[in-house]
Amino acid sequence: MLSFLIYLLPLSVVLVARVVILNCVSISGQDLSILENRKSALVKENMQFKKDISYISSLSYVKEQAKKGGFVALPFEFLEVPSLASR
Amino acid sequence: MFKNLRLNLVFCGFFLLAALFSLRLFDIQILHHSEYTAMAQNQHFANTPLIAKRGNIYTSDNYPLALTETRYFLYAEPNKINDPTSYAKTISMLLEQDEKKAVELELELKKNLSQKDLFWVGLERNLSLKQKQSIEDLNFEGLGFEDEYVRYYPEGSLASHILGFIRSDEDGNPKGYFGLEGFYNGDIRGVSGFIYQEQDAYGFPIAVGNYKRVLPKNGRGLVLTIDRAVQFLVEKELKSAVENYSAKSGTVIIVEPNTGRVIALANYPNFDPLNPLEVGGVLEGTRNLAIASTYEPGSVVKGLTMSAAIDLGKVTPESTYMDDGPKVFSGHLVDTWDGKHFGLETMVSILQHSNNLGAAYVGQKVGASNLREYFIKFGLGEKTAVDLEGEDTGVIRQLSDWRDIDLTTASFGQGISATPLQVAMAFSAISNNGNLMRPYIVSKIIDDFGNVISKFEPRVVRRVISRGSSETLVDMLTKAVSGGEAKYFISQKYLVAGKTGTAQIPIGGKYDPNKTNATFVGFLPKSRKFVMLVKLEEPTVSIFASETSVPVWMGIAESLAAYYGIPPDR
Repeated sequence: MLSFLIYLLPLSVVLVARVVILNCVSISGQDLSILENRKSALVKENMQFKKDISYISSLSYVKEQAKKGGFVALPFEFLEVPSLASR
Repeated sequence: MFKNLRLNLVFCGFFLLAALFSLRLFDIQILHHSEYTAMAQNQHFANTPLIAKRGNIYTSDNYPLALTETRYFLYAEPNKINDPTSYAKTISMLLEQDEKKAVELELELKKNLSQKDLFWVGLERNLSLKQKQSIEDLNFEGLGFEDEYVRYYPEGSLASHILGFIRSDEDGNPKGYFGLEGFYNGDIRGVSGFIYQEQDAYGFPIAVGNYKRVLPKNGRGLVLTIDRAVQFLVEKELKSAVENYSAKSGTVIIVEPNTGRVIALANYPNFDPLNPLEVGGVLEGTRNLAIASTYEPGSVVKGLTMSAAIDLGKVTPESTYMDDGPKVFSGHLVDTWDGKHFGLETMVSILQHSNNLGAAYVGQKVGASNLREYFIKFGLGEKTAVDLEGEDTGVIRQLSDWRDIDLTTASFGQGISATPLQVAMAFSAISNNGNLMRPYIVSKIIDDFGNVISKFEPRVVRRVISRGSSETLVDMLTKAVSGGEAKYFISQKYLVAGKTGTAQIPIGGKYDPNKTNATFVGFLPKSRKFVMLVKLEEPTVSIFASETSVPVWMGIAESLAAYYGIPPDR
């Protein structure tokens, strides 16, 4: 009977260890999946931010905002070079 | 005996059962081996495609012209859906604000969702993240999304002819057509990858299972020579010019003459690169007139004829020609464009008056062989090799086909054809000490992280005329503008070297006197920062370049000079 138990004990330990390890592995697979999804979501969010930034910095948007803000285009004039400076 | 019979029956029963099991196993394992293997693979392994992102396109000052964004493709599994009517109604209300369109969408969705014999059916493409989230919030069973990458153009239709557009190829994959999207399609499309991994019953990956990952190679980005502000200014001015002069179309090209960098290139009408308008199977306005449309350039070619004559030493600016009336060449009467004759003309005044007879005289002095050779050296009749898809060569006929009249008309730019870019590059050569440059639009190819993979440098195609001839021509072209037919519209701030060209358009074998292409090409001789060509097709308010293209050119040039900080020189 004792010798039977001596054989059974390591078998039970191996069995329990296998269950624990498989459980851990299974959970890490789930974690991995969650991390992959999170990464994908962040990449997409980043792309969305880039899109928003590019829209806000586009010339048509800037022009529209400038118009709303009351800015108007003025003719450009170069200043005359003073005679003292040109001497 | 009876006992043996019962035993035999039991034995037979077991034997039959074993035989049945064996047959079934034979059926599964041998006869349907591949079918069940595939089924098991589908259950155990997930193959997730990793789609390559198309490369971005930036202006020279690093503002994006074309980006890639994620959109969503809504699909359904109809056999899992019990109430297609309510699904269709709810989804259509979420996706469409317009009541009429919502009803149309609802009918279409209902039709698709009711196809119970289908496992999978596509419902709606190009959904935004918000739309996707609002559908997900419904928690409807049997609906799913697939990611798809689409182009986004933050500047709208700006530089649309430079960019080209994306459409599906014969396999349904996105492909670039025309412009940079077409020319650099191989570089910017990228290569898709995939993840192949073992999964458990819940679909989670098994960390110690089989796993293979081939990463996607995202497309390479392009950094252009195009200046965003200049492109914006040019497109705005060109649009108003085409509208104000009631022209059919217009083209503006701005090139840096000493490098060949294209700073701006615009055509009007332009198009929305995201959704080019399709009329009768043809995409409207997508043709890049600057490189794909050839025309008879007209009097701007007098500048090239004169260059050849000066370079060969056949004439000097002071050489004279007696213009005493129309002349006959090969039985054809040739006259000046306005019927006026000025008597003794110098080479400068021939350019100022844009005198056809004077140009013909210069052409005769140069000779057909030399003139044709110079035209080709200036880049006419061959592709400029600009990095855009769809370039045309124009036509310079074989020398054996040239008669006396052909030499005459070619001298003032009729009977030959060229693209606006070829004309702009030819004048760039005059401005650039006689060296013809290769025009280019992409300055750098970069990877996903902005690292430079390839860099494009200016390239001299050939020397066309000597440095001395170039300087003489610049001086002559400056005088041609200040004292020429365009003198009433020229800049009061800057000296300008250039040439007008009003070329009648051949229709049905005859030139229509009321339909012209009006071109002005020139540069600021002091700074030579840029060479600009303005071409209007069939302007109707006035048919003459001096009254249409010239004022447009001057307006843009003064704004550009201010932008580059070039002080006035008049």
